[in-house]
Amino acid sequence: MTGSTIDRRHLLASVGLAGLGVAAAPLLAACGGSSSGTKGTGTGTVNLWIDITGDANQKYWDDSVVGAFEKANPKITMKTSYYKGSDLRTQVQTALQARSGPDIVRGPSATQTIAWSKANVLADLTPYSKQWNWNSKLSDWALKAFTFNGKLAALPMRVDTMMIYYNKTLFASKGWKQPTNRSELEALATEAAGMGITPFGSSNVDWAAAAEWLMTVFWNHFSGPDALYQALTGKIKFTDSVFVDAVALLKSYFDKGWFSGSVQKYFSVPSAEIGANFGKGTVAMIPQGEWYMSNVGQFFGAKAGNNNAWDWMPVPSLSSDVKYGTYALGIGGSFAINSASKNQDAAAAFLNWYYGDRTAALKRMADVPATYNIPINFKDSEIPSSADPRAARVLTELNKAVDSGNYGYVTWTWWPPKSDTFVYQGFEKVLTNAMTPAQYCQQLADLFKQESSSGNLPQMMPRKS
Amino acid sequence: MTAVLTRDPVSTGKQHGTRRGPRRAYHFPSYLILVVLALFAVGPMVAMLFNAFKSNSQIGASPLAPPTSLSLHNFTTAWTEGGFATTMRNSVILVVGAVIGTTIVAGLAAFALSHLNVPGGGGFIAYLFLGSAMPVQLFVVPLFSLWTQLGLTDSLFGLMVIYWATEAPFATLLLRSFLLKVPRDFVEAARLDGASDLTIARRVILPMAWPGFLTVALIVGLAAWNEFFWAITFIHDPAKRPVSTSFLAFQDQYSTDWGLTSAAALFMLIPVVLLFIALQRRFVAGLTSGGLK
Amino acid sequence: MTTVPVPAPSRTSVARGRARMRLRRGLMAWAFLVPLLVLNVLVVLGPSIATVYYSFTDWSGIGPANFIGLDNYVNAVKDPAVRDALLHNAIWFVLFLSVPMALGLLGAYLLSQVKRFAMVFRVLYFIPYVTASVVNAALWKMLLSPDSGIGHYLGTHHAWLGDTATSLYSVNFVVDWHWWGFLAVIFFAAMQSVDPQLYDAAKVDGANKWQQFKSVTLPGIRPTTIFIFLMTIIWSLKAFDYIYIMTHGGPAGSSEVISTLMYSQAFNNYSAGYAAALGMSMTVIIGIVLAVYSFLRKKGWEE
Repeated sequence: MTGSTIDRRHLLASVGLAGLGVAAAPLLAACGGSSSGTKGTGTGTVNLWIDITGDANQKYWDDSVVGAFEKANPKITMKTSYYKGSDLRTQVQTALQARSGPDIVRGPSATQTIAWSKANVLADLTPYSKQWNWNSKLSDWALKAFTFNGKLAALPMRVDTMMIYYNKTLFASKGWKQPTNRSELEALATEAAGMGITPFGSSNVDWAAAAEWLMTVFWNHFSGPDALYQALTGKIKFTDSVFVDAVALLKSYFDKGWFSGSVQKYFSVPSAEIGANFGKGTVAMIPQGEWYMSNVGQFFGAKAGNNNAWDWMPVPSLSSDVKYGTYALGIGGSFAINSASKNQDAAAAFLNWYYGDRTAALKRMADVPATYNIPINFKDSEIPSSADPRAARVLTELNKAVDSGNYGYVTWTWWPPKSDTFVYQGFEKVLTNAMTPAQYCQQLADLFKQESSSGNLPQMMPRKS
Repeated sequence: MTAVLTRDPVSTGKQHGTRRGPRRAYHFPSYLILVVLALFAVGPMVAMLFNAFKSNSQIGASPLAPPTSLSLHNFTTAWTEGGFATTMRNSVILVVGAVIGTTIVAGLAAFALSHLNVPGGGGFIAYLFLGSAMPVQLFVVPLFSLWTQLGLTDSLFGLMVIYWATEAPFATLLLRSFLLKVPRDFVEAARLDGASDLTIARRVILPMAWPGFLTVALIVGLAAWNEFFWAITFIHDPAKRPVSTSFLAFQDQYSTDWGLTSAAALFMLIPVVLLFIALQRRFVAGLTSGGLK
Repeated sequence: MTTVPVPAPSRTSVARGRARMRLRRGLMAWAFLVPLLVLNVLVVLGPSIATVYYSFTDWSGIGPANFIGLDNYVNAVKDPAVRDALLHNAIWFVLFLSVPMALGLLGAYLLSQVKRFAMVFRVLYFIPYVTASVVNAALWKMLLSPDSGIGHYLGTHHAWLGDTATSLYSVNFVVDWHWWGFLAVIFFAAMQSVDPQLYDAAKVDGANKWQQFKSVTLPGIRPTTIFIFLMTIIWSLKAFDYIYIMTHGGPAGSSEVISTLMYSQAFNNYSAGYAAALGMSMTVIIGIVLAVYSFLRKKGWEE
């Protein structure tokens, strides 16, 4: 009996030790602060993971982006892997933590990039920026948003704003005008609802964070950019009534059934269905970001089986303090270089081409609405005439907004990461009456205080007074 | 060497049949319930089948109606755009590798746990149960780190090893319950004849318990074919991706092309169903023969 | 002639000889377990130990991890979201344990009674199990859509997945639908091995179908039932795929279970250390459930 008992203990002990050994390996790798990447020779293969979905969009990327770059730089070969947006961030983060993954990291927006930058998984782009003078090519505010502790951690991928898409044909047939203020908007919504038309189409089924788009709209156009700036720089708190009232106003629209018909439908109707209804004219308006422009077209016209057209309008000012023609501004996503990449120079060469070759960049912006809107400096006159006028208008309006100071702050760029997550997760509870707007704002304020004191905020776009 | 008795499944079946013959009158309500259950099981698939023949706008108009024309457009588009030729090949490799590896590992372990006196075996079984209950999302990051250092990411073999490790505990437990049914007398007789443990495993256990192995192979193979989360985490090279990722190629944030998605789903489903139809006679026949005294 | 007495082998040397034999047999037996053990240590145990470590830190999922002791566990106990998730796990557990088994036993029993088309039915019942979870989840998401799904055809516009009251049950319904056919096939196979003479004896005693089921079938497939019961318990605790794809644990956490909460904390809330603590707690709970099972088993439940 003794023989087998010792055996068992011995075996278990060795299993335990083996387990510890195996466990130690990833821990040591994770704790190691130095990057194992190298600059490389500036040639060879560069890997990129990106969330471009749909065959047509992927073909465009392969031919007109990667293809064009490879023609200009024949010594570099790009290899692209495609992912769904909701999966990409977790995949990339897992890989980065293991010191592997793509050479070019298509990463999240500014605040979440701070976390990655602090973890030393992104290469410092400052030397490349100096070498190629990116400061003169990219918008100042966009670069600053990704500069932490003097290091440029990533490049801004896409200029984001929120607007309201509307079924132009429907509006014309009902004699509706574009609303510019709150009373006009509410009158329009009431009229539409009375006719059985859903005023606003929206759902979080395909994108869990969709609620933050709506909160962005209401905070910017009701509370106003000035109030937001003060809250984000810590001068006032998010518990201020101007913010609570915005939440309450949005909730009241939901309670009236103006969003997708009911709160429950907001949680369960897929975006594809909303899009189809939008095309048909049973949904009047869709509050969405400019990125929707590359997808909304599929629901209109002969292919979709209707004779309708879409257009977009700026969000009406929901309070007298906010000027009409204000645009909430931010950056959706980033391009960075993996600090463990063995081919950093070649990856940087791609970034330099992507942001530096203005003709190519502007052509992309004209070919595909919204997806390729990078924050480079350009004049309105430089926009190619082949661009869809609705897409061109986004570019010109945003140029105007930045110049005149009529811009606001989108939550996914300027809020710290955990607070940003709370914006949409907490709002679900407000919608289901599990939390009041006041409690929501209180929790947000607490979370924000915690995060800003540990230095997790990007550099704000200043106000022009 | 003792002769190994095998049961003839065919005669057993006949034996069943002749006893059941005269009771047909009682069967109508049973059939009714069985048909209702069948509709419940397969009804949604029928909707999917319909949608595979319709275009996306037709589906938008009437999602659950039968197709007006049997157009194969979705199938050809889905096949090429989803890269099914590559992904199916990868999945077949994965399945074969996962099944072979798991049955060997689980077979050895199950044999030991059922017919050899393993000291501390009960504790090990408890550990296996616990291990198969662990929430796998928990350790994806440390495992990925480890796999990166071992160079096993972006490799079908690396993914296979993960499948071996995650499927083997259940396979072992299932196989063990099959092996327990193998009468001890045969094993004892073989041992008295001087056969080593390994010989016993090969010559006595395997022939008698092969339906158990088939069951395990089916379950493990299915799991490997359908598995998604480990696959997208550990395989990033598009040339090595398995078939479950092809299915997602037509769903994006703003819209799902239901026509293409349904066609893709059928591509994933039909090989498995055909395989099951081909094997299930043997599968069930083996199970019934293995159990009778 | 006197024989020289040969010294008999001492008791200790005999015992030592036997112990050596037992040792060798024990080692040989464990040798069969080595491949499984190696795989397990490499893929499960090792990373799990890393997770245990992280559960005592403030790790965000990327970058360094600082030791914070039991803070994560204390917060987990206080967190209302954890309490809700555990409640949902309990509800899920009860439903997942009863519905598929009941349907599986029903289907299997009826199948074993009929002679024709048994194969057709078996294949049809097995199809949901054979379909990938990503496919089933996408399919049912469409079917449960309030305005264009099945409900629409039945006259209701209820948002099954969008109503906090029905979201958990709706996803559970889909998972039950996915699982019962598999159980039916396994039970059917087990029922085939029940000695038909027992049925005849019961019929002679005047038992009807239901009584035959209770007195002959159920006891006859008891080992299989126990095993399936145990595996179902374990699988119910792992419920992740379907919930993640169909509702993400929403709306407002109404269908959140511990595994989805863990995932969300690790990847969306940058609280991977906290997620690790949740995972460890879940493992402990599973351990307790298994301990209860083995205690009941010792009391003579199986065979």
